[in-house]
Parts: sequence; C-alpha cells; structure tokens
Amino acid sequence: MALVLALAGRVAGEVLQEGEAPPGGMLRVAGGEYVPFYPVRGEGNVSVAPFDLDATPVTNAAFLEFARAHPAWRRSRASPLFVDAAYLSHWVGDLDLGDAARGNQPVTFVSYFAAVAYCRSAGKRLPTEAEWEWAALATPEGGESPSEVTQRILAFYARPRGDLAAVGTTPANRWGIHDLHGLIWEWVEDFNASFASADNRQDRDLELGRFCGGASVGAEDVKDYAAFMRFGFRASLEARYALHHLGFRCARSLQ
Amino acid sequence: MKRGALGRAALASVCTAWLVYGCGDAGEGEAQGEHTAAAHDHAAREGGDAPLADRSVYQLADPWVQANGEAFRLAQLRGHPVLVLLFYGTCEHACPILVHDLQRLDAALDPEQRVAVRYLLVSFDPERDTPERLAAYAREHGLDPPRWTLLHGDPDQIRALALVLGIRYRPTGDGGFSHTSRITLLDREGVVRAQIDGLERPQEPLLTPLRAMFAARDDAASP
Repeated sequence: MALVLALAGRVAGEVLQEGEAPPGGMLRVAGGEYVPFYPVRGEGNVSVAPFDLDATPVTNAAFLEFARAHPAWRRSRASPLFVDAAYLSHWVGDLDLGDAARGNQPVTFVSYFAAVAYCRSAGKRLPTEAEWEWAALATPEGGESPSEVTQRILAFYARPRGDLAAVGTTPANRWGIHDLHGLIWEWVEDFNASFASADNRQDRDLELGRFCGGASVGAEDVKDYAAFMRFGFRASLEARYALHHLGFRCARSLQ
Repeated sequence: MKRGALGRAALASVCTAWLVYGCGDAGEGEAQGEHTAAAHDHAAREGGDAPLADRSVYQLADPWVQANGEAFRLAQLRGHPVLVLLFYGTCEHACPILVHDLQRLDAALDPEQRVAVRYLLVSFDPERDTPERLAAYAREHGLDPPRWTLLHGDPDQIRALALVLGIRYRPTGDGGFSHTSRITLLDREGVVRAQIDGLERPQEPLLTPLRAMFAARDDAASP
C-alpha cells in the first residue's frame, strides 16, 4: 500500500480509513505521511489525517445554486474586497450561465473568498495544501509509472486551454477522486502559506531557495517540474483573484 | 458594467457575504439573510451610520476578543486612522522590531494627531496568544488602550484578515510563524491607504498619507 507513486513528494506511510461514510459527492481519503516537495525547517514529513474530499471540482451549476441562495455572492453584488473584476465573468448574468459556460463544467473565475464561502455554506471547507497534495499523489487506477504520470501532468500544464471538459472526465485516482490533474488549478485553504521565511529580518518575505531556476535548493525533487509549477502558481495568487482556469473543490474533516 | 453595479445598494449585502463566510452553518435560506442584515445594522451602529466603503477591511464583521477579554469588531475603529500589524507574542526577532517601528512612527506625530491614531495588533497565534497573554504583552511593551488594541481571533478569521492585507504566513513547526513583515495604514473608513514591508524601514510612505488625512480633515473643518 505504501508504494504509491510520488509526484510532489514521497509517501512515507498511511493510516487506515475510519469514521462514518462520507456524505454524497465526497470520498474518503486515508491519512498518511509524505515527504513534502518543500520541506519545512524543523519539521520532517507532512502528516495528513484522514479526510473527505469532493470527488470532482465544484461545477458552474452547483455554484449557480449557491449564488441563488446567497445574493451577496452574485457577480454584481460581491464586494471588491473579496473578488476582483473577473469574478464569474464567463457567465452571462448574475444567475445566468449563458451559452459559454455549461453546468457540468468546473466553475472557474472564482476568488478564494468565494470558494471558502461556498464550502462553508455546505458545511465544508477548502482542502489544505497538504491534503490536496497528498490526494494528488495517488496514482490513477491502471498503474502508470511516475514518469508517465508526470509527463501527462506536464502535457496538461503546457496545453493551451480552450473549452473546459465536464468534471469527472479525467481518470479517477486510487481514492476515486477525479480531476486533481488534467482539468483546472484549484484553490487550497492555506495557499498564502507558500514562500514566507521564518521571522525574517530581510526586506522581502521570499525564501529564494524555493524558486525554480538557479536557487531551487529547497525542493525535495528538483525534477518534479509539475510541483514547481503548482507551488509557484499558488505563491503568485491573491485571494481576490478570479482566473480562467482556477476553481476549487471542498473538503471535510472527520469528527 | 458589473463593477458599476457595485453601488451603495449592494453594500447592505456585503456583511451578509462575510457572515456566510464566517459561519459554518449549512442550509439557511432567506432566514439567514434577515439575520445577517440585522447583524449588519448592529455593526453599522457601532461604527457609524453610513454604509462601509466597498473596499473597507471592516467588512470582516466577525467579532474578535481584545486583551481585556471583551468582544471587538473592527468597525469600532471607524473614524480613526489605523496602523495594523499582524504579529505573535513569542516572536523573538521581527515582531518586537515591528512594534518598535510603530512606536517610532507614533513618536513622529504631533500630539493632537497621536490622540486620534489607533494601533491594531492582531496575533497569528490564537493558541498561545490568549487575551491574558496579549494583556501581558501590552503591559510589557507599553501598548496602552484605547490607542493600542491587541486582538485574539480564530484561525479562519486571522487568515481572512491576513489575506485582505496581502500578508502571507505559515506555522514553522517549532512554534513560530513565517510571515510577511508588513505595516498597513487604514483610513478612517478602514480602506488600505499605504503599506510598508520590512523592518526598520523609512516611514515616510506611511507618515505622508497619514499626515495628509489630518490635513484633509483640517481643511474640511476650517471655514
């Protein structure tokens, strides 16, 4: 069981599932421990408790229902403190997807704050970066080699994105989770935890060892370009941003 | 087009948005809308009657806990220029220097300006920075109320405030936090007007807009 392929780190161990069955649309992800892509000083492996994760990203249709129930998160009303000007800009109106956005596509052009509000309204939360990366370490059913998987992810990252596919159309991983790779980028709860250095005395809060290029010494596997891209992308985000290929899914702690 | 629609009529719903964010209850229908509208009115009464500016940080309406144990809403700072620092009490290096930076800035103000300015210190570390610990910290550093307010909040609340101020942070695993060393100036409505990053930086980028706020008010007050 522990010999899972490593994409953004190395699996160091797992704990078995527990608790009652996950609610509809969610799947249980067993807890475990992995070697993080960016090890934190003074900490060893990243430990993730078992949690539930949405099997697919949140769709336009689901977010439309949220906007219907929570007028303050409609496009015309959301505060500019919480969303930028691109928020839901692919929809025709506040409650109208129009022809360009289909209900079964992942919702994108959503800010972090909007994603958090959606998950809260469902009694859930965003997955942490550790949880997301842990779930995304799991290989697709059918057994590709790590290099094949990395190549597939990189091919996805490199492809110009036109029309988004419907959710659930990429292969499920061993937890049954779809679309962690191959469809969109996803918000994580602590995206703003990337790239700060401890109690720093410098002018800037950036830890240069984390960057790709000449100073990537902080990374666990410098050949894992896909992970570099994810961590770099997260570090570039601000919570108001609403971007074309950035969506989210929700998670839930086990009680 | 849609930005233009963000007029005053929309503002009543802004706090509603935040309360949805800030509460984990699922399944409320219109009843929640009424509840949060009432909460908004309450917050508005506390901080003044006018609706909040659409970029006001005071839209983060959830109550915090002050060092004296009492509840505190950010909107209570309305009407004052505010300097905001996120910090934590066990921070040995950057935070004491940043607090000293605030004191240095305070010393550079005229006495009448000093009376009006407020300093807001919000802890990254809700576990260890209890209100009692914050009170002790304030005493040690001479951060006296009502000009200095130290706040304890829950992790979601802290993250939300950090995000609207553009501050990145994470626990380091040894009890500390990595964090952006940033001082933010808010105007009387809670809108970000200036920020400086780093320790012992030149303070003109904060002092100049701060003094301009007082000058604008003086102009408005004179005949």
